[in-house]
Amino acid sequence: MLRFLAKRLGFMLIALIFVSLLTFTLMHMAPGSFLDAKRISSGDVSGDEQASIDVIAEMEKRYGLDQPLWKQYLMYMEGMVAWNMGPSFQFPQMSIEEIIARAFPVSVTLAVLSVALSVVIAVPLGILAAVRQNTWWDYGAMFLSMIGNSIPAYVLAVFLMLLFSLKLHWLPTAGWTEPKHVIMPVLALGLGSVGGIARYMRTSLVEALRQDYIAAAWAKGGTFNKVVLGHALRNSLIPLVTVLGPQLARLMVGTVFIESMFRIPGLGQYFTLAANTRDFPLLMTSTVFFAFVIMGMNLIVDIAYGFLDPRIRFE
Amino acid sequence: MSRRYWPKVLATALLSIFVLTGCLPGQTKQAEEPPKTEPAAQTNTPAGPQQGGTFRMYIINPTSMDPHIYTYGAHIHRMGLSEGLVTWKDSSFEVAPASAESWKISDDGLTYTFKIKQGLTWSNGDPLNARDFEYSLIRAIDPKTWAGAYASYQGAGILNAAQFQKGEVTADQVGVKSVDDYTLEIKLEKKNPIFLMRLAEVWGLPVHKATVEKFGKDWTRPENIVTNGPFRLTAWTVNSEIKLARNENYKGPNPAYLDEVQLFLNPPNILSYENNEVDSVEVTAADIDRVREKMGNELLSTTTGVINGIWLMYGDNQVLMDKRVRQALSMSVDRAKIAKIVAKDTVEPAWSLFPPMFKEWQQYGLKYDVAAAKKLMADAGYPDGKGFPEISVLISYNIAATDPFMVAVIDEWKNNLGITAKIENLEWGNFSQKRFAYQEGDYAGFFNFSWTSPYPEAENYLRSNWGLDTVWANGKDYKGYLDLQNNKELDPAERIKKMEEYRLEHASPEGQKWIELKAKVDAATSDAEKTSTYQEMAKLREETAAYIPLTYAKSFRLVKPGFKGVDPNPFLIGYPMYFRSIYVQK
Repeated sequence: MLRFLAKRLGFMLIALIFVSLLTFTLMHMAPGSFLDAKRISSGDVSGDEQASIDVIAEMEKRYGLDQPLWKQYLMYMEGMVAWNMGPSFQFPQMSIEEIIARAFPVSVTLAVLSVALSVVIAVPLGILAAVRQNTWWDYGAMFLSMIGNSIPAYVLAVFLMLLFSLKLHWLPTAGWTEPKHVIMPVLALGLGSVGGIARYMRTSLVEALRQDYIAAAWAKGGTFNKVVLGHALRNSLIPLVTVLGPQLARLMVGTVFIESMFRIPGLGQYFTLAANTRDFPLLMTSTVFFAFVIMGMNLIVDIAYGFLDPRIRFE
Repeated sequence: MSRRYWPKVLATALLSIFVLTGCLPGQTKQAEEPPKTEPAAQTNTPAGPQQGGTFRMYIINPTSMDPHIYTYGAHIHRMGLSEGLVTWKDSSFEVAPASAESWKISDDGLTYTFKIKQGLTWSNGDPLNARDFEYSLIRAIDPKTWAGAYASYQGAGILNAAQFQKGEVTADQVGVKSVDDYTLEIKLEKKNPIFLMRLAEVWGLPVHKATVEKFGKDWTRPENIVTNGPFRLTAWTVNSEIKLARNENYKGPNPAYLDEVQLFLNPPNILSYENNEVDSVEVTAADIDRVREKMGNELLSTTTGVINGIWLMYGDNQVLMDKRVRQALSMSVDRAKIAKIVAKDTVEPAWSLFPPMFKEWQQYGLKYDVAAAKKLMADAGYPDGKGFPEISVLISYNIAATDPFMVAVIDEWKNNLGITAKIENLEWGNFSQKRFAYQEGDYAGFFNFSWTSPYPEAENYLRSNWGLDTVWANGKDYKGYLDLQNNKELDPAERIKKMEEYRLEHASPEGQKWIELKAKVDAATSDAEKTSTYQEMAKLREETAAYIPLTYAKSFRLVKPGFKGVDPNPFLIGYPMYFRSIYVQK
């Protein structure tokens, strides 16, 4: 187990360095710069050449942009390791570690709740479809999940807003101050993945139900609870965990459309802002951070396999 | 723990997050109620607007809440959190007293002496005096304040301010001094008739020294901030929401009516207006038909200072360097028709580089005249567009609603002049790089621009942007200019000097004339001479047609019928002038 962990962590480190190098290179190859874009987008288009040139020189000095590229790269990396990444370009009074510390919990909450919602709906749906295989229960459940799967979250979000806000007046369209603000974004994100998860659940449970030990359990007079939920379900969870891990990680690093539509102060908004405005420090850190979260989640999934199926050994 | 308990455990854990913290993650803590010194003076007569109510609107997402760093947050300060020596009365931009109850201007127009009203306090109850303003004005100019960002102070002419920004003189040589607790003196470099109007901008707002020094960059957080305006900041959830409450310690002449202002950070959503979650929202062309039909009586439309148009690019290809060609391109576009049909009257047709509030300056613009345009093209060697290459119009999809408009412009060129053009739609960063780059090969064209002066001054539309000194005789001359601009070997001061010399040498004949006229204005001894020279410049600029105006932006805002006093800022689309004028009609 320890050797497995050490090996995986070693690979993670190499992959992260690779990701950071790639991001850094792409970032510097992309046309446009924060200073150029900002000059006009902030309404600050003074024709005062003197001021422009002075400000640009000053900013380059402050952010180390006047240094050779390899030095800039090492600066970023050093900052990330020391968790002291300095200010972002566009939030001049906020450090990057502060931005992540503020926005990451928001995205995690949203991710955990919406994955929990999809599991709560999808697992029973999958079980139903598997147990009542090839009946109208099965077809109905799978048809519904197919619809869910084919509607993108942002389309669903608009539909939810129209229904719950405009027609029924039950919920506010957007915000992030009261628990009721969580409902619509979680529905929008969660319902979409119900279909996929239910299908995985169904397939793997059908497979498990065909095993000899299940036939034996039924023969011994086992109840539905014991046989299906006790034996078969546990053994069919592996594909589910495989899907859920990365899904959770993807949502945790921010969902651009949903965050922006519902005005949720999560990571996704910062990330798109950073990309649009060429906010290099924020862009660089958030990309590496995303890679780290996704790799970490995959590692957790791998470890979870071992607990779900004792036959899997770590090497 | 048995397996069957895990769902309960998870649910309990999540619930406890909400219960324990009392809020969702990512939210900032609410500010503490400040100690009250004494109840604010009730300045309202029973018949007038009453105190009370909450106003909710969308606003552009601010990235800092320091008035001396130029971001949209600085404007939120000006609109309610902070109050300078003077303020604008309303959207007329007329100067009115604020923290200063009166002022005197010396006969030479160079020294301003402000009497600060006695008994004013900060939101925490501390007294406000002249030293606070001395500290704040110096801070706004000090490059250390906004290191790595943009200064909110931009050339209003305070003595030695520019030199201090460049580090050539020390702070005590800047022309801002407190004479005693309630007297502040500001000295100017040279006479500036709009200095008082400029002083009401964000850089003129005071900040609380003790708070700034104690908390550093965190001083603007709701739990730390101390301000002197009619409102105070109570919550700021970055990228989501800002809350202001009436400052009960405000004793100045411009008190607030509203109890609270809630600012939802963009993007705006009309659904939330229809669902009664916001009281005001900006409307775009996409929604305008539906809004006019369903909520027309709640729609407020404002003429703004924003000009949209196209800007000449320079490079190897010389086809657009002929003034007659550019004039023909401008004169062949029927803006009025396009504004009506394509833009559904959400914009006004523009023929001048001055916005509608400067009517007398608009007379020099070109006119819609297809016959004349055709003749100009023939004179330039392209009768009926024959032999004219395809040109490009560079746009960025971040600039709202100009796309269908530009398609219509190109259509007019095709129908009236027989020439073809294509739209090149680029991502913002790409666009911002390409528009000022040297264009190699056959490429010739314009890029789409949009600009407003931040305050109503006709001269600013002449001097800030669209100068002719960078209109070249030959597009190839632009290369040398760019090389100078990007030459990091030279220090900034030297670079600027060299660039000036280069312009003198290589600018087009119109550019040379422009430089001459600019010098004439600076040396002018009478206002009449100044104005007539400016008029000459305005005329020259429109004729040169290197910057072709197309539309003036209009602002459309829905306001719930219960609210009065929403006064949109014509020079800052999407913002009212001040929150203090808004009240609930009982």
